[in-house]
Amino acid sequence: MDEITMFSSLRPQAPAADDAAAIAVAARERLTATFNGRPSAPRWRLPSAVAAACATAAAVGLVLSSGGSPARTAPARTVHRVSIITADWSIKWNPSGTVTIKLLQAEANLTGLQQTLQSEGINAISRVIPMKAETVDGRTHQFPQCSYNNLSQVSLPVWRAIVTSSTPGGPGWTFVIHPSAMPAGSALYFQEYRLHTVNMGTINIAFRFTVLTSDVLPACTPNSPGWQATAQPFPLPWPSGSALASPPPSS
Amino acid sequence: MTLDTEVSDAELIQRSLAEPELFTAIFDRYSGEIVRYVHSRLGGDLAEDVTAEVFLAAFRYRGRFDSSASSARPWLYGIAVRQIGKHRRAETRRLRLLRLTPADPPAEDLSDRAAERISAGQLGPRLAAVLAGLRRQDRELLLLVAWAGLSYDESATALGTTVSAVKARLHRIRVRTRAALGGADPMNEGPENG
Repeated sequence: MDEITMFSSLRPQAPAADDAAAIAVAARERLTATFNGRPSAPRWRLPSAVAAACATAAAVGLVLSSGGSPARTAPARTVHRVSIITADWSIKWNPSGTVTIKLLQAEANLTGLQQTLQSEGINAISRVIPMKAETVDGRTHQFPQCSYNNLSQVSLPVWRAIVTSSTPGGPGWTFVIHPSAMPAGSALYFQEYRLHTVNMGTINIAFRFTVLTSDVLPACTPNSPGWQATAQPFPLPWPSGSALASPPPSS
Repeated sequence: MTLDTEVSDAELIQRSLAEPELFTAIFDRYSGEIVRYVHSRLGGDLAEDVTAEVFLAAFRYRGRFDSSASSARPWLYGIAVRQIGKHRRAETRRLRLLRLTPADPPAEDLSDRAAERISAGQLGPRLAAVLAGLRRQDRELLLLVAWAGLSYDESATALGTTVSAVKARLHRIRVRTRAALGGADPMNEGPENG
């Protein structure tokens, strides 16, 4: 390992998500205050819960217009047609009625994505599967604690109607879905687990996206040390990978 | 039409000269990582103020942004470095804490990578001593690369220097680190980078 890389082990733990959100909200407020000619407000801090709510509100309200007109936050969300950009992902409603979802970070906040999609009227569920390590015969095996097998996926024609595009691109993966093509009760499903690699400082993200016929997940199947990454349908390293989504089998 | 992540930083900043609100998109793109970096450098107490100061300074001087740059990231980190530099006492306290912090417990991660982390963790106090003993500009460079994950190009831009100077300084840091750790590569792995 390179000496420079070794110093990354000294980096203190990142702030909790709520704390980071509170910091960002307060800093953003001070920045936007200057747009109105107001002086930068003195330091203040929101309780975590309030800050998180504000962060969500700020994210949901972000609409920037181009073509010469000034940018502004959405005056009122009379319809669900806003672009939502966070540090982790973005959601953009397209004029055609499709929605472009882009993951911007390797360790995206899938729970936040799920909640925002649901608030936009798109049924979604997510799972971040914790990793586990066990030593067998002196060899350490690392594996996701459980798998969700036998997912009830929509049929291939339905899948094709819903997921109109799925391409790696930009800083993360991008896919386009057609919410109106989703059958009643169906749900987008996002899953990831974080597989540490021998390369210091890198974490492979095995990510899965599919569409389920319902938002009820089958029971978690516990994995054992014999678990193989290749046994999973789509364990893709982040951010490379030629495919993102997991269409149902054609048969 | 709505702006999304495909609009370049340079275009946003350029247009924000006439339409200041557009600068919030730059904030939304980069505030997450700037918050994390500032927090790791100075701790939670100052993270909010310094993050705000970074973006306020960036907004104030956005007219100086090099519009040929593909990303505002190194520019913002350069501003962050200067803002962090105004809080040397807090930074010194932080560095002292690093020297006292025990290694990460390996309880839940026993992979090969974790083995590296354990080894690096055991060396922590000595690495922290090296870090604290570096010249300020070398320490800033090292942390931009090791903690913020900036490339050599980005680091050079952030610090207003050349890539060759960055490489030379990192080489000096490697030599110094190796000497501080006993004169040999303690991890016994792989050639040097850069």
